Amino acid sequence: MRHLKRTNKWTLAFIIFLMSVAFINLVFINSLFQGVIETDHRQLISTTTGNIMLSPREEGALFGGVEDAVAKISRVEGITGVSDQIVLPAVIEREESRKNIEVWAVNPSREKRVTVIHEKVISGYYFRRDNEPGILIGKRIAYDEKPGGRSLIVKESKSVALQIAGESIELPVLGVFETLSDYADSRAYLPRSVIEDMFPEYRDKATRIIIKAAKRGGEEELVKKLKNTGLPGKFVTWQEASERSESLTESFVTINALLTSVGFMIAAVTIFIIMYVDITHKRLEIGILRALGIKSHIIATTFVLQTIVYSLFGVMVGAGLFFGIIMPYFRWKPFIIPIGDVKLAVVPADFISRAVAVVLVAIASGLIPAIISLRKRILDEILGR
Amino acid sequence: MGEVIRVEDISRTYLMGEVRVPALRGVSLTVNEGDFLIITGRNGSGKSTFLHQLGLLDRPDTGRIFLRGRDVTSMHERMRAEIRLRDLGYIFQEFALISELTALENVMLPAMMLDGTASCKKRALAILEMLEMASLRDHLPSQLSGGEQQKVAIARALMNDPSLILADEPTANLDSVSAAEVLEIFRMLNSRGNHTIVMVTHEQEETVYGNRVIKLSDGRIVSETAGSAFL
Repeated sequence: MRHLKRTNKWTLAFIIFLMSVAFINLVFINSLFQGVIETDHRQLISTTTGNIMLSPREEGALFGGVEDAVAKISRVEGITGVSDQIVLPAVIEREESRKNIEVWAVNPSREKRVTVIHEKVISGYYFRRDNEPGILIGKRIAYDEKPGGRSLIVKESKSVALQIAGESIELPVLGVFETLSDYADSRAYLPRSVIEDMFPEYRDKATRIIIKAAKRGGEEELVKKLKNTGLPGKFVTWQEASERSESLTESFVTINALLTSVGFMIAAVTIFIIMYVDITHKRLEIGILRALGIKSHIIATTFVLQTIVYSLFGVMVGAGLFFGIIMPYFRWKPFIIPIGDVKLAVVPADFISRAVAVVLVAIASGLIPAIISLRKRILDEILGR
Repeated sequence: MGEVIRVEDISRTYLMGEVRVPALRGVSLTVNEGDFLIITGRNGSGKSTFLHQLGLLDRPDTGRIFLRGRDVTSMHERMRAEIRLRDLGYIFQEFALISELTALENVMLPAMMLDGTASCKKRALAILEMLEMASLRDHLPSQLSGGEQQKVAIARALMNDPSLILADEPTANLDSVSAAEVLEIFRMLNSRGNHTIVMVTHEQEETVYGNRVIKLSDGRIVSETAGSAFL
């Protein structure tokens, strides 16, 4: 420590800074991908599947007895919201424009307790009554962002024509929502009363029921409880409900692993070069210590301890910069990508493993040049040959 | 007088690029307890190479070196390091101090491997006191003059109370006043402290401090005379 204290302060600061950059590089890549994965999951749960989804055993079938099912599910401990949905393909038209979309017919007040769509209205308003006739459309349907594209251009408070299963209906646009998830923003919501008026056979029926849990992480336990209600259909967690999300997560995990490996190599090479240069500059010192009769393993240990101190300071400074500047910056200005607004997410175990990796790499980077140096002739070290 | 070191027919050749340069050619010598041996010779005569062999900083290509009767020539490096630490005190021409450590810390360095810090400090301070350097104990080498740095190097060499002190042109980088001080210290260590000293120099006037003077030329001992100290 005494030795380190008297090392040139700028050199010491530079070494620690480079160590911290190598550490930040490792943590940043991981946090970014964790952020993307977390955003995808958050968006999926809050806009599409809820924490748990009840769907019919057969694809495309409908449930009956929805009111009874909603009541039974709501009584299960740990459930904070239940929303029944009818999902139908439709064609939306206005003047010359038309587009194939999905309409989700919901009970608006129930839907509010499960998804965040009501919080994401960027113009107009969310349904004020459960049976208010009107349509709430996603931003990707509402505005044509590509010149010459075929997206439907709709201004809120205007009417659009909707064709569902050969039936047509004119509905006022109540509002436009934007969740930043392309998937969610490409759909439209209707009160289920509109669909029930058009198609009475849909009364008390649903394509699926989505369920909000009090907290994330305990879905599998809740599914077990829900199965005990005896309701027909398949209860699945949000992970099981979305194959798209699963494959996206797998892809990101793979890319993350690849980039992390590259990051590790870059960090290892950077730290090795730093320590190699530092120890090469101390050849005379190593030679003097050897000439005095100090044993090689003591000299090597001294340099390893030195690199451990460097790397620990590097990790501390890196962590300070990461949590003090980088994380708040991306919280303030997140990356906007088609699945949502991505903020950096830190997994504590990953963070610790990367800190440990930097220290281990530093130990090897201190030890290898020290051993190389210790294998040279003492006189070559002292005389700088 | 017991034998401290015996050198038997050692040779050392360096490879300079593709050229083989013989630095020592069959040198034999015995140094006895209490000797103040001075090795002289022109640049390139092999003086420093010979001292490096005595200080166990290098190994001869042929021949053997005995320290108090033990053959140290082919000894494992770990054992040679132990001997350098306990039995030899080496003083370099360029002082060879650790620049980040103070004078006191530099002196304590070899003893810290053997003893606790407190006893090392006490002994180091006593040696610095003896060399009139105690007031400068907290100075870094860069804050000391050449003569002061060499005194610190001498103090460091004395720290483990070695039986043999080896000094490689210790006055070469000093002004005449500092050089005289350093030589007086050696004389005192030899006469009062009963330390055996082998010193390399190319200054003819410094040979008066030794009791034996050998001259090297082209890697061979060409003469041995009694020094003025003997007379």
